Amino acid sequence: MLSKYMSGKKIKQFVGWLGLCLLPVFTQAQVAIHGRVSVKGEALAGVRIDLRLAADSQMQAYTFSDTQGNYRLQTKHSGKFVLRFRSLGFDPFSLTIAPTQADTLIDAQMQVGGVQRLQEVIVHAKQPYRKGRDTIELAVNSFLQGDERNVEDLLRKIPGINVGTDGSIKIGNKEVEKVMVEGDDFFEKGYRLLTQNMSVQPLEKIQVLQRYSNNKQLKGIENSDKVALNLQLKADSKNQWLGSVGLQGSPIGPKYYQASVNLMNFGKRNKYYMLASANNNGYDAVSSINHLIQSGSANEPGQIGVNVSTPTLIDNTPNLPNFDYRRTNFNNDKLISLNTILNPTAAFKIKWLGFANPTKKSFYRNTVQEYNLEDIQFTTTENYDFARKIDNYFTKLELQYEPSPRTALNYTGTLGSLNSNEVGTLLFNTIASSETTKNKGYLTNHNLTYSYKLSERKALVSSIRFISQQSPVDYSINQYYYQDLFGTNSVSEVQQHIDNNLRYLGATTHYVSRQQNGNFFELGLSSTYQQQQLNSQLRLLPGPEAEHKMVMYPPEFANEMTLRLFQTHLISKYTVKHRTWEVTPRLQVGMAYSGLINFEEQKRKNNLQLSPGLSAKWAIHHKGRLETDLFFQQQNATLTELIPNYYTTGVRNFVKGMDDLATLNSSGGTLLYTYGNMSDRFFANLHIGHQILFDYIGTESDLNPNFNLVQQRLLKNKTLRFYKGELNYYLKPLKGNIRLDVGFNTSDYETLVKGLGRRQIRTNRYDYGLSFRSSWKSSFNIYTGYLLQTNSYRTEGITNTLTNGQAFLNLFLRFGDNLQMSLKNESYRFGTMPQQKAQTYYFSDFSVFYDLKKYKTRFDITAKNILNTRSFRNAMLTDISRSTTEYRLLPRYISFGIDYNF
Amino acid sequence: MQKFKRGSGLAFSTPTIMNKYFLFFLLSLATTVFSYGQKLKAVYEYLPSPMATFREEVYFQNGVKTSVRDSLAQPKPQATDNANDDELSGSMSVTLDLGKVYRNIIIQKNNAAQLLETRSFKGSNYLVSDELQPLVWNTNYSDVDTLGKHICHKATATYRGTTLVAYYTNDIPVPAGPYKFGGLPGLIVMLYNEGVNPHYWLLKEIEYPYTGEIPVNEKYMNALPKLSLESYIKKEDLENEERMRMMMSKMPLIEGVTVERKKVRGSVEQVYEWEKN
Repeated sequence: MLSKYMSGKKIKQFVGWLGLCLLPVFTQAQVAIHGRVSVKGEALAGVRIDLRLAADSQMQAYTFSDTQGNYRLQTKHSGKFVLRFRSLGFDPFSLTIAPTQADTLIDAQMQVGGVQRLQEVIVHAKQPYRKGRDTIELAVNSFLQGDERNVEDLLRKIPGINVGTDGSIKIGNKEVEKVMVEGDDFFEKGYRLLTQNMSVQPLEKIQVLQRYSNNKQLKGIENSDKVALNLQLKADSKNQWLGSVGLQGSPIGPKYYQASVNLMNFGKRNKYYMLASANNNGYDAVSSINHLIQSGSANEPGQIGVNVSTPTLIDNTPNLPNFDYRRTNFNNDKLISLNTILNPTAAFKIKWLGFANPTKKSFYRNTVQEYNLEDIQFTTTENYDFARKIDNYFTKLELQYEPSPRTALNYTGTLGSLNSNEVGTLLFNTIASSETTKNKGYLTNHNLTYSYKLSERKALVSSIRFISQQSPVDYSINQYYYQDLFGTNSVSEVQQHIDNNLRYLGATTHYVSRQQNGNFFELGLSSTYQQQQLNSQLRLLPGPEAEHKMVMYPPEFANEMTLRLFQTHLISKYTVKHRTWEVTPRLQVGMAYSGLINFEEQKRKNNLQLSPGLSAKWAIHHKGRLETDLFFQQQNATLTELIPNYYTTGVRNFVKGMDDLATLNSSGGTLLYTYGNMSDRFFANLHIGHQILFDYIGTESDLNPNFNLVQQRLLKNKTLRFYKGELNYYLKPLKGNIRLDVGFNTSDYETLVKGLGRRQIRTNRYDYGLSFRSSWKSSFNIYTGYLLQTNSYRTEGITNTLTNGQAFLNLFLRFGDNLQMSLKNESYRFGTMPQQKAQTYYFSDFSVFYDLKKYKTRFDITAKNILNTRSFRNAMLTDISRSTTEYRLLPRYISFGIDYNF
Repeated sequence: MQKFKRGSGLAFSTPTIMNKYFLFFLLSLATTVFSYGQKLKAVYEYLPSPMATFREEVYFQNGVKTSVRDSLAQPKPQATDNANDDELSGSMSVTLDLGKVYRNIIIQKNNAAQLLETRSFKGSNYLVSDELQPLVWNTNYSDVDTLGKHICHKATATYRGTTLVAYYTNDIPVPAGPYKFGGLPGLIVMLYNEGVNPHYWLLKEIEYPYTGEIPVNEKYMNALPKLSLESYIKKEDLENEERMRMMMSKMPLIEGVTVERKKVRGSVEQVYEWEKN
């Protein structure tokens, strides 16, 4: 080892030159150390030279000698340093120096030695910076630049997170499922309310949760491609109140408004969210908190009784598929909702939700129904004017307890009071009457779920649920249309009271296991006891001219039934996975004990139920996939299919079940072929299906101008088939996707009509659709299309056909991120009916948004129903009748709105 | 044993009497230097996502770094829990199929203004030149982690729109690392970029001196069609954008608004120099 010290006087010129070459920056305050490294007098390149403070060996600077062996280091510090020279294959050495001059020359001679050989395999025990396989934790500080107004602004700065102009957040190509705060969530997909209002100040970390499972214990076992974000707060973060106020009103013309206030507070322990809203522009306010009301996903293993409720027996709500419900909904909605999540300890969580929804709705409906079946030929008219008053109160309590990371206990209890009062002013077959329907519902639902993660790949989920629901209905109509049914007595009013009660107790336990090769196994055992009660009684109140002032109770129109059903099922499912295919056979075996009591009469049935199935997926080639499902199913008839005697569902219809504890057998299969995917130029789906209902519930109708008696009957062999194709092609010159839809549905079954007997029905439905959606870079885009549907019913050689069409043209205009406009045009065309020519209805809606992000304010102008179409006549065909229904629509209005976030 | 190559007969054993004229002469004859000659081979595991692992071999000799990344992901070890990655993807998932992929070769020379790499695009291979400025590392961290048997120090650098976090070891005084990264006092043992899709590079094997050949045919590389990185990336972006538009044009309509998003690259690089405004 040798080193040479030299003061830099002699070669000042040279250093100046070198400095020019290597590091042109040279300031007076700095100390520069430079020199040449050599071995046996020859220049040595690639030697690391580092300068450390002698005191704490803190590295000040480092460099590598260049091809001439030269190096240069600079430091702003002064004092004692250690200068180290190190290179593979040479003995490292170090010098302690205390340079006093701005320029210090130190040459070094290295000697062969040191590390001569490296042969190593490095085992990384962990991937330390990934928190678990599917969680990425990001420190907020690394991404803050100081100009963030809200969480959304911060997310925009994180590489890999994609925030759309509408505030939707995507990770890769997936939209996030929810954005939680400390693991708690109020908004699900409505997370914009949070991300656009919450400031970044209290945030500490952002967690990206991939393959997110709602049930923690099923993480990694359940199939999930969901992504969620979790915001973690600083330990000392203060609770922050934030929210938004929105107001919309029409200053001219008809008065329509919408107003809402959101107020929330997120602390580390406690979270609160309050929402109040009101509107009369047709919007269903409760739909904005639907996700908070519903709990538990039916698709998760270990759930039971998720969709169990009392059947709805009388429902006058307009049902217009593919038509914006807000156009017919004359409403006055008010909603107030309070939500809170408390975390008294890390393992215990309390969630509470409560809402009240006093609402008024009215709608107008005029129906002309035409019957033209051989001898039975008549037309009925119904002109309805409904006013409904709804008072719903609902509360939900959720308790979560996680004593250990492997176990979770979850309780959910709900209590609801659902009341509505409906008055319908009716002109039925030109005779006026008034109809009232009162619902006084009460609901309580309790669920306890216990999840236990046996291992990384195995879990046990057990649930028990209790439901009690009462949905009584009081119906009355102050006109007597039924002389032909009950005789010509003088009747002033017809009343019906229905008791519709449900009690349910169910327990299930599921074992789920995912093997290393991806094979998935699920075994479940469930037992349920369900008791449903339906009492109904039709009362005919005597009129002033009646001979006997006596209330009449037609015995054929009264029920006092109790349906008890005890079922035990064993469910098993096994998925075998391979690289290009997977097959899932499944089997459900169960015993059902049912008992039906009507008045004194009792019926019993015990039966074995067997439902096997098989589903499979196969990637035939790298673009094409085939999916299939085959099944055989055995089901028991439900309550409404078993009601022994008639009850009324409105002015004209009396319905009864088949009074037979039948087991319904069906079997079917579907095949889906997919070519390509969404990002391919050509993307196609072909879907075909065939189903045979060996037993099905058909109807026998006794048709009269003033009433229909509909009796359900057990019939044999109904077949259903469908063929559906969707073809997408991205047209390069037009820079947009052209889509063609073709569908054909057909079914063969029987229906019965009193006096005509059994009628074979063949229905055919043809659907054609053609649409174009542009994806232009410009600020202007369009989406347009045309849909055509032909329905036909053929019976006894006569075919009735109806062709309806629908067209739309949507135009979008966007100026930057701040200004957006859209114009939505729609037309509906209804085909020719014997008493009505084809008719077309046009609608046009316009909206413009202006976002003043700086002031967290958004302005909008909305013009609804610009063409002021006041009514809409929908044409429909069924296997026994043709009908047209006219709905009254909300008129044209323009509203101005402002949304302010704080 | 060490072997020293002599340049064309020129030897300067008395560097202390150099003058500027001499140095000028020396610089003009860049080929006439000595090298310390030994090759270092480092093998990295490159994990662009939890679903895939690629092998990347890095050779370092005489200030020249050559990195070779396999075009195919490594077979998954049975022990890892990658079970459900093989979902038969639904129609909503997007996998860009851009044809045959060649291995990625990067050659980075100390004194060259640009590095050269091979990149595949729609089934063809290109020689792409990248004028990457040297990374400015911040080594001012006290964080120390033991990876393997090496004590590693943290350093960070800003690289094309993301922050790189590297752990290097002083024990191996070689300024090399995976992909285009290097310039630290020691060999990079682990590196990742901060963000939602962190790409990881983990050092797996070291061999020194490595006596084998570097499996790169420079002749073949030089015969490839040449592109600057800027034009290559623009080409690739154009293709990806078209794919995105194809997908957007098939998406269900969201009430009233069209949604525009900034592009997010799947690569480590998010924003290139020429894209800054």
